[in-house]
Amino acid sequence: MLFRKMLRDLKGNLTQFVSIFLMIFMGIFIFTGMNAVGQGMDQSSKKFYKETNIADAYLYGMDFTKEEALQLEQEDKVTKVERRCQVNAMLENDAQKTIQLNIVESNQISANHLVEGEEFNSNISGIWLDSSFARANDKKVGDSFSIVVQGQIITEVVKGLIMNPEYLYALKDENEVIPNHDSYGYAFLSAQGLSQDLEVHFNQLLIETKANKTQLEAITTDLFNTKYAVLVMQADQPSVKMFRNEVNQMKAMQAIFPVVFLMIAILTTLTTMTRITVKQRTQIGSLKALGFSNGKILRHYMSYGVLIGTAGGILGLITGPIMLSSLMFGFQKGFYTMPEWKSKMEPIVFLTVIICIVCCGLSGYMACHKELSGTTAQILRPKAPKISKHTKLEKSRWWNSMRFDFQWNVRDLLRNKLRSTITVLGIIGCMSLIICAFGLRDTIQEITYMSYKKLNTYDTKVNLSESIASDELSELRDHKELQFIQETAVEIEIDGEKQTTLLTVIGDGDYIKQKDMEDNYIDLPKNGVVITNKIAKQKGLMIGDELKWRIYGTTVWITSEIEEVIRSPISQGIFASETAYNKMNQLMKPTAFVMKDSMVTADNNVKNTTDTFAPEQYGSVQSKEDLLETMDTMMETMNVMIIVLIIAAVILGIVVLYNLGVLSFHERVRELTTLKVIGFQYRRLGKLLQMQNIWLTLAGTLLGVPGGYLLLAYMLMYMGDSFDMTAKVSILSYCISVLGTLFLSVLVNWFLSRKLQTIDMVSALKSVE
Amino acid sequence: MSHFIELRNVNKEYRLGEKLFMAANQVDFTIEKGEFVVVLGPSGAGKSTVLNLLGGMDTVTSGEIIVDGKDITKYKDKELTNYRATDIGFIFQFYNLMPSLTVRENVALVKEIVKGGLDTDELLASVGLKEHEYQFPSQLSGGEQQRVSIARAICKDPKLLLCDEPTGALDSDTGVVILSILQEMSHVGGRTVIIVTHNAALAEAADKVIKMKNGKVREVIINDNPKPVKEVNW
Repeated sequence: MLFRKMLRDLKGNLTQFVSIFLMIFMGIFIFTGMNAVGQGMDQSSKKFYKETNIADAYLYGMDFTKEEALQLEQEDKVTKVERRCQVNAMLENDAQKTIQLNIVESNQISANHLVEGEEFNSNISGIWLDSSFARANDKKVGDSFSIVVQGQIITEVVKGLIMNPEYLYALKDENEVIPNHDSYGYAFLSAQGLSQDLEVHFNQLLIETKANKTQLEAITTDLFNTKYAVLVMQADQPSVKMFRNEVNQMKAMQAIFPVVFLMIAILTTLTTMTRITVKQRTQIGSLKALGFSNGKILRHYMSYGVLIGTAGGILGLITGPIMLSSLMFGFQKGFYTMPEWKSKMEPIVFLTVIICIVCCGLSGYMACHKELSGTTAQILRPKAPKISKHTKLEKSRWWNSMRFDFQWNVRDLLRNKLRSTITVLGIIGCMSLIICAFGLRDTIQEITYMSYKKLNTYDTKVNLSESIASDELSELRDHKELQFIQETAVEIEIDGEKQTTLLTVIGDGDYIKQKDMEDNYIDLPKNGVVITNKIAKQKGLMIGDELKWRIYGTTVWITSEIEEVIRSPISQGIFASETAYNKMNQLMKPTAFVMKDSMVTADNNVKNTTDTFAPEQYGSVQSKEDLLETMDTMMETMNVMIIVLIIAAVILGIVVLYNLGVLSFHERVRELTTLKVIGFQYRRLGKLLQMQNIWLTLAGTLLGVPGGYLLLAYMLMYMGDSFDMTAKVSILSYCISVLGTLFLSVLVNWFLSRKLQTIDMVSALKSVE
Repeated sequence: MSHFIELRNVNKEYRLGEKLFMAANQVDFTIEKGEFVVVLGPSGAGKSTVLNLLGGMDTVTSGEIIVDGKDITKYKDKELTNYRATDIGFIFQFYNLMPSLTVRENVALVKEIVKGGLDTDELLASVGLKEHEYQFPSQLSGGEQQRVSIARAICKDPKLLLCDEPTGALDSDTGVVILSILQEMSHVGGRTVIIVTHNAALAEAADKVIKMKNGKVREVIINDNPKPVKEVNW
């Protein structure tokens, strides 16, 4: 019977319970969905790494011999070693497309996952091609594939389409933010199976080991002291690292959104249950008088929250992983290449649902417990009204000069602190989500603008091939309108800990600029180096500190003074001017040059950019247009995220405002009726009723401004190591967010004041509830 | 001759499920200006219905209600609100004060909808609540709360004071005090006061007694020499 009573009560308070249900559902939906995505990505990638036996460590050098590989394999802690030659090549018929070529002797470590065709076999000739690149370029198994390597054309038949764990996040270089499978891919060739003669320098050793970095470093230094070798652990491998960052980002986000929803759900349950139990005080007394035990009555009132919590929780639990993961995986497949995407849930998700249900039940318990105190006879009598107190505010003369609407609403607010707090929290949540959503957009636009318009003002970047002849290079360097740069991987050592990063040496020219932390353009100093802000922060470095570094693969450590800390939004590293670099007794070896396209027409020696700098002697040509395009792609995926955030925000705002508005209406209906009887006009009552909601919305909106900014800043912290983004929210975004939230409030208030028409003066005043 | 208040063939039907219920059935009576009227009858007799109709809180099914020469049954919602705001003072059984407003604010509240009105201080003094003016209703006794309610009703200087079981929730001593105040309002202050009650004893104190039963007016008694409330034998 009590169950029936509950069902009827639920029906009688439908709006409240539907909104609680929605909040719980949304919270659990997002939480489980995000968790399933994050956990799924983590597990799927680990499975991929395990299946393909990704290398535990890499040793980069110039040319490793078979003996050296064997020598290393002899070491106790090392299980297996493989040699690999990794060089960049380009398509024969399209120099714009780069293929990273891997020539291997066997493929036991960092093996390929076969998508289509034949398994890799070191004894047969042929090429195994990146499946994403093949799809983007319409290459099939059996096609003939021609590339240019070190000036030599190699033609092989495509034997298989593959996925390699090291290319899970396949970026061409630091300038790229998201993979472009159309212009960059990878391929594997067998060293033995090469059908053409090609000079192969095994510049990498892939190591399977249980040893940690320090142990391995000791071993390799011992063995290859004379060779300029650099050790990179699996965790620092760019693709592995990027993907781990992405997973962490997911995990960081999964926590923050549901917290808002679930907190509001539980608080709303508490207010709703309190209202129900207060209203049903006499019923509770009657039940007691009939002989129901306290426990039974408590359980009855707990069952409301438990039922709603369970329904919302379970629905969220089921739909979240299914819907959200298919949506998110859809986007991520564009960035990351893995054979299998499987969502997976952590036990914590179930725990969260259970905690949520328990909290909802507890709300009922707390609400009912209050009413149960005292004897049955006491409960049967109406409760003594709340004692009102004068606040300090009222002592002032100013108070007495205020209109009654104001006084009434202020007292009502203060008397219902819980309700007011929840409303403000809801609005803060709504506002923060909207600001965060627009802020994401603004921030990405800002970094795009800063990177490609303010800092890198060139139109085209031409990467030079390693094999470029020195006379050709010096001839090029005579062109003063070209700005040369050298991008080299370096190791830095801070407090005995080594880290790899990028050193950019910048030659004379105006196309690449730097800005300091105060957003002023600076010239690179003639001495020492400058470092980017993110590295400085991570490593606790400051201007004036000494930085110990060496070029990857060399043995000589160089110590330079940090002259300046600069801001670089999309790539992190060390910068030095050519002059300063020379002073360190280093000779600049340009790896690229940048230029304005207008130079081409001005100087006949440098003709058409792309065509002029296409073939052999130059590595590849990169136009800024392409880079901007990839940023646009990133923006598109961001837009979906923004829409999801905004929908969540709107639901949150409407539900909280409407639900608590209805609650407040019901609590005050008697007073409102009296006012109506006394002769207050409908419009005036409407205003009276809305006043509070508008105040609370305003308060929430104001507090939501910093809230949204902080939320954005928090999210940006997890955007990945190479990004250094400062949260940026434009004035327009603030305005839209504020107006949007206020509009929601006005809309909900309009709906609420329509309820005033339903007041029945005659019956409402008949008796005390 | 025109009366101050005149009800002509007033009917009020309620539909309770399938059944039609006549809460007021061919109600006819008149009230003169300044009269202290008691509407008597058992519960369910239709007293409150008539009072609600007269107060513009409810609308008739048929019939006319003329108040000071105007037929209020022709009023639209907005006009009815205005009518309630300016012409009518209500006093309820359960006071219906704003719990979050102080005594003084509860009374002064009315001034926001009516121009003019009586002086709040004088009013509070007249009902003996001056020393309680900054307290909240919940800090007052039932009798005191009802006095606030009277002050609130009088404040706008209404044409008509309507009281629905004003002593229903009070003990008899307090009830007498409240009723004396109301009688005084009429006999000294010259106001038209209509009290709905089931307490037959009050009949002796009224200028006019309208007895109702089953939605019909049974009898109208004119009392030429009403007793002061305090002398009525309760």
